[in-house]
Amino acid sequence: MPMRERFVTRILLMTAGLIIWAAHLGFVYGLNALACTFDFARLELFGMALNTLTIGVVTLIALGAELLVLSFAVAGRGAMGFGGEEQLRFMGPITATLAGLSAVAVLWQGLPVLVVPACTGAGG
Amino acid sequence: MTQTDNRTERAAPDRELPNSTPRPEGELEELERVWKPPSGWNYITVVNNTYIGVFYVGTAFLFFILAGVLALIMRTQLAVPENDLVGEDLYNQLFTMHGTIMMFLFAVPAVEAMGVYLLPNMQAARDLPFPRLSAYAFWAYFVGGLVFFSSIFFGLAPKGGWFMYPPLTSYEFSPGINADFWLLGIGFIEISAIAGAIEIIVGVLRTRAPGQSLDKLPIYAWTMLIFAGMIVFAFPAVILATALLELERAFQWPFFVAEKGGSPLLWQHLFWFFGHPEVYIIFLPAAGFVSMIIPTVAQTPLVAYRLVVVALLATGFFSFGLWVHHMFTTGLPQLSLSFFSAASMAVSIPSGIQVFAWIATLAAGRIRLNTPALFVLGFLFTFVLGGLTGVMVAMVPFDWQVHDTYFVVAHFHYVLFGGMVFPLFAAFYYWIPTASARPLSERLGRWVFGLIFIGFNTAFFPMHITGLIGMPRRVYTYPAELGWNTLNMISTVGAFMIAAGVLLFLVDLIRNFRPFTNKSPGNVWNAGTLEWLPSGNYQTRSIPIVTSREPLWDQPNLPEDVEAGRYFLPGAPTGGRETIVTSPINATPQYVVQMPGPSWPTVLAAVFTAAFFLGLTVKLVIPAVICGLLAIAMVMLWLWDTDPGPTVDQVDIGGGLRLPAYVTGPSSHSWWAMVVLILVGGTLFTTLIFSYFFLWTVNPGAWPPGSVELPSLGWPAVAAALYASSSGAIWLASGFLKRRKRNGPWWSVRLLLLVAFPLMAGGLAVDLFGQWQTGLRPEEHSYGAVVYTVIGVQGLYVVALTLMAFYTIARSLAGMLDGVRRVTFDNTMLFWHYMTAQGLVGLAVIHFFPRLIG
Amino acid sequence: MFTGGALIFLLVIGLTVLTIILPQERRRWLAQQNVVIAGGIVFPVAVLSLLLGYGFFVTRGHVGAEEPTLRIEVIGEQWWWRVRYLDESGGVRFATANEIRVPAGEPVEFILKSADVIHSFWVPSLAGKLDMVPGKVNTYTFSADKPGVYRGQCAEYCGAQHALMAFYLVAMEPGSFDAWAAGQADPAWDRVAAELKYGRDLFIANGCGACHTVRGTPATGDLGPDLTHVGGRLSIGAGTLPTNIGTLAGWISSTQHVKPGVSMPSFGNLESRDLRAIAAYLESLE
Repeated sequence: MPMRERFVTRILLMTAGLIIWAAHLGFVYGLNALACTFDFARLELFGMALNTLTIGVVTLIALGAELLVLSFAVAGRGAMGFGGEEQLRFMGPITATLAGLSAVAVLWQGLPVLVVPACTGAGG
Repeated sequence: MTQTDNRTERAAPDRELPNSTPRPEGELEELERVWKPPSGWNYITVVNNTYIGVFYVGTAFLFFILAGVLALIMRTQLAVPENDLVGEDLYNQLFTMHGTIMMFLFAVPAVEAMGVYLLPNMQAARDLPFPRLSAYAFWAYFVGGLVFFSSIFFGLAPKGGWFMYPPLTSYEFSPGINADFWLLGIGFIEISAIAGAIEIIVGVLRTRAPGQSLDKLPIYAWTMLIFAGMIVFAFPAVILATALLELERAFQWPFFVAEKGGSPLLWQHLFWFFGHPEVYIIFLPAAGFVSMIIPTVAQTPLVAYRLVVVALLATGFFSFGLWVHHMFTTGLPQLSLSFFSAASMAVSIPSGIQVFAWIATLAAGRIRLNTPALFVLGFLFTFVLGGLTGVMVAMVPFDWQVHDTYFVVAHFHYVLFGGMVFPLFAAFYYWIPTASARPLSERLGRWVFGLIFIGFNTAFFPMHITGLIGMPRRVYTYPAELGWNTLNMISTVGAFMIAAGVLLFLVDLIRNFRPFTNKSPGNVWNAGTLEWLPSGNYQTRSIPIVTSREPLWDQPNLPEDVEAGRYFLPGAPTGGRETIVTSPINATPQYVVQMPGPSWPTVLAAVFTAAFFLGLTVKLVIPAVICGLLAIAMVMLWLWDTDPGPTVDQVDIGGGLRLPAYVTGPSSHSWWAMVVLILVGGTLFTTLIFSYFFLWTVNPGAWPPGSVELPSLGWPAVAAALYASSSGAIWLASGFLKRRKRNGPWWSVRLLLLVAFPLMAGGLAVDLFGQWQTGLRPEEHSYGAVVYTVIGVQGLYVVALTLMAFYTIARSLAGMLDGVRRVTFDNTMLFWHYMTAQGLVGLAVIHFFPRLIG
Repeated sequence: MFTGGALIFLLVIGLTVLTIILPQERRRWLAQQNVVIAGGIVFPVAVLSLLLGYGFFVTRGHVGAEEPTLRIEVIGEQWWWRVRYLDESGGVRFATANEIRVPAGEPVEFILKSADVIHSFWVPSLAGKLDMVPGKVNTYTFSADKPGVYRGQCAEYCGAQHALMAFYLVAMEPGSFDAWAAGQADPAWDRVAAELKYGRDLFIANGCGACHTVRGTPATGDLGPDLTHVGGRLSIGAGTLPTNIGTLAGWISSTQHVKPGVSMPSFGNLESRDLRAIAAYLESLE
């Protein structure tokens, strides 16, 4: 009798942008904390600090993922499960907007690597 | 109920309502009898959300007044420099209690209580799905909160600040039981908040009016859903933190002691991982009030509903990404601070969206400047100002200057008082007509608003300046020559104006608030949502089909049809309390849940739980343990009649819709609640594992510390095998149970439960002894402390599951467990599998990680 | 930042007022989703991006400015400041308490530690605050550009007398700073006046040296502030009272009344003549 709504899947998809944002913050924060504690922030690759480079690359990957979610939601693909009923169509734009906002937040989180030194303590 | 039906419904409102009139004789009387609150002494066993909700809000408001009085004493002390009205000891207790009570005993319970009261009304459910759980949460909070507050009369109140930073609050610098009052009292009230959150999540997702799909859900219900979700992920962090600090205080396990490999910063991470979301946990429901009140006072639907939902979801996530902004001055790496500065900026966007949605809605309609509207406008003014100063403190360099000064005091009072108390007063004036025979006075209301609004700005605006010119927080006195005198005097005058406003509000309440009369002035504001339907103790006579976000505006004749019983479930067909459970997205009716009524064991369980924690606080260990055991016994008693099984086969709710009256498995509300509880447990465990790794980074190269040997891998292997095989036994039992339909229990199920218990306990014992035999002791170093805590948390689950296993066996022996009636078994099973999973992860981290890095 | 904030505040409040006072047809344009997108998303994203970028650059500006010419270790204790001037090799050149003198215009590195609970080092007029966390060493370099007296205060709640945990930072002309520092490194002056000698003997006889150091005398205690040159400091009791014979005597006889909860007991049993002699002796230790 009750049709399967795939509630958990749909909610996870709807908040996918935010989940990517959270993963990005967790990763860059964790990596920088470890890099400073264990002093590998000074390692270099191609003339760039390894730490900075990794954070930069991960930021780009996260941005790509955000845009992917955004474009799928905008296109309203069946794969995203938002086609069909009114109640579900409601989720498409929410997914897209959340991915957009999260992309901005990811970008903001990624930019300081270009400017701020990794491990110097506050003050100074 | 399908979408097509809804459309037919809309097209022809006069015909094809699910039930015909006139209703059979005695139906209404039966409904009234079933939902009648108990009388006499039994009155306090009441569980209806309309009663518990009002008690709950009332108690929260009482704590607002009590903590407000503490603030007045502080403001009097600070009115003039070098005042000796109160000494440093009392003052430090005052500000600790003021912050703690406002956050934990007023703000969170108040918004949670409003949810308990309002949500079933807004969703046309007869009650929340676990009425006794709400009652338990309320009574535990009521008793525990009052005892906690009275500690100040004995000079035993905590005095470490509401953030309780160790080492100041640990055994060395805070001997005496003051800090224990905080740790145990608050830890316990958080458990009550989590109970409420589970209730609210399941309530919002599963007990809605048919057709009230996610896109038609009132914004307030969205805010409460996200509020409760945030509690699930934020509160475990502070519960863990309080547990660790209490372990350190009671048994000298050194989590926060730097000389023994601990770190004071661990506390700050855990506390603020809870503490920052906490601010939004308080704000979101208040924003929900505003999003409900503005459309009504402007008489037009909310503009950009979808964007507001986006804003709420984004706030729910982003607010978890800024805990470090309370730690900008602790000397963390610059780059790390910058990440959190970015997240702090991101979280202000959703607030901007909501503010503009409210402005657009006001522009779309025509505002009526009644008291709720005034409070909402007052909210907009204060909250926007507080939000802007919030963006300023998110800037790392600026924060270095104003952190821990009166600027920050001003900022967060603008955000919290502005963002939560103003909307709460708006909500009181707005929704009291649904709870009282008379609305509050509009004339007095304007005075209340005027006094509070002007008083608030007089008190707190000058504090921005006081802080900028250098006055730090949490000082009981200040020298006269620093130029802070006049500003402080102004603030004090403002504080007393707020008090006058609150006093006037109490006068208004005494004159006009008449609850529990079953009389109501009706839809006084001409609002559009379901809580304004005519209602009794059973809420609405029949449960409407909803086709719009503002059904009362868009569905003509709805109140009359609902009241006449033309919609679903106009009676009490199972002969007891019940409501319709709907699917989480589309709100399609799925089954009728039979709900328990008033119960003494619930109230007693709450009282004994409170007594257990308070007994521990004052070191009366044996009475505390007795109370704890009594509390467990009472919980079991109360649960005993909550898994009724299919007492009737199917229930005809009208419109040809016959629903089952009992459902098990993944679509049952009980399964959902258990899954949410497991999420709470999982979050707690994750923060514990975070603590493990954090302490490793504090001790780089010494993890485990030099003298400690890891147990050989045989130990974890045996422990893991035992945990896994206990889960295997439960899995087998589940299979056996499935094959026994309704022919009573089967011995193999009981036997497997009996076998699973020693396997699980054996796993724990091997886990524990493996560490012990290496000579590792918890009080020597943070490594041992955190390892034994991981095992200890596992031990708690083992104890809980032991109780659950024997409870399940008891139900089987009583003939209350079979292949159909198996909700109790399913709960035990889910929890059991979670315990195993957690045990395996714990073993893997503790035994493999040190080998990996070593 | 304040101007920007004020403008945004006025904009939002202004719009709200417009929705109330304008006739309906003249505020229609506000009542649409695009306004929410523009005001709630586009505008804040633009403003915050600028602000954040600016913040990052300011943050970087704070980091690794100039090489310090002087290094001072400051240790927060309940509820006073232990101050140690370090020499080039990192050894302690001399110790003092509750007062930090620096050469004006020269970058000074403060090495911040805690002996007990968390404190926070803060001189509002000169720089932001930085916490002193047990088990952690934070460093902070800044300079006082103009000579003068700057008040500092503990900014992290640290227990009963958090309110009375202040200090003075005195920026001196570099020349006079060097002279001062040289004087501080010397042991206490041995006074000839009879009353001062009497005071010194009482100071020793009453056991003050168990907790306090006066270099050049048998007093070598390390629990409380170093008093070798206490008479030259602006305040006693960590910014609680100005330094003179009267306040010194009052402090010694009723410590627990002036600043309840500190480790030092009240020496209320001292004869007033003796009390005055000890105070006079301490005041003479410039």
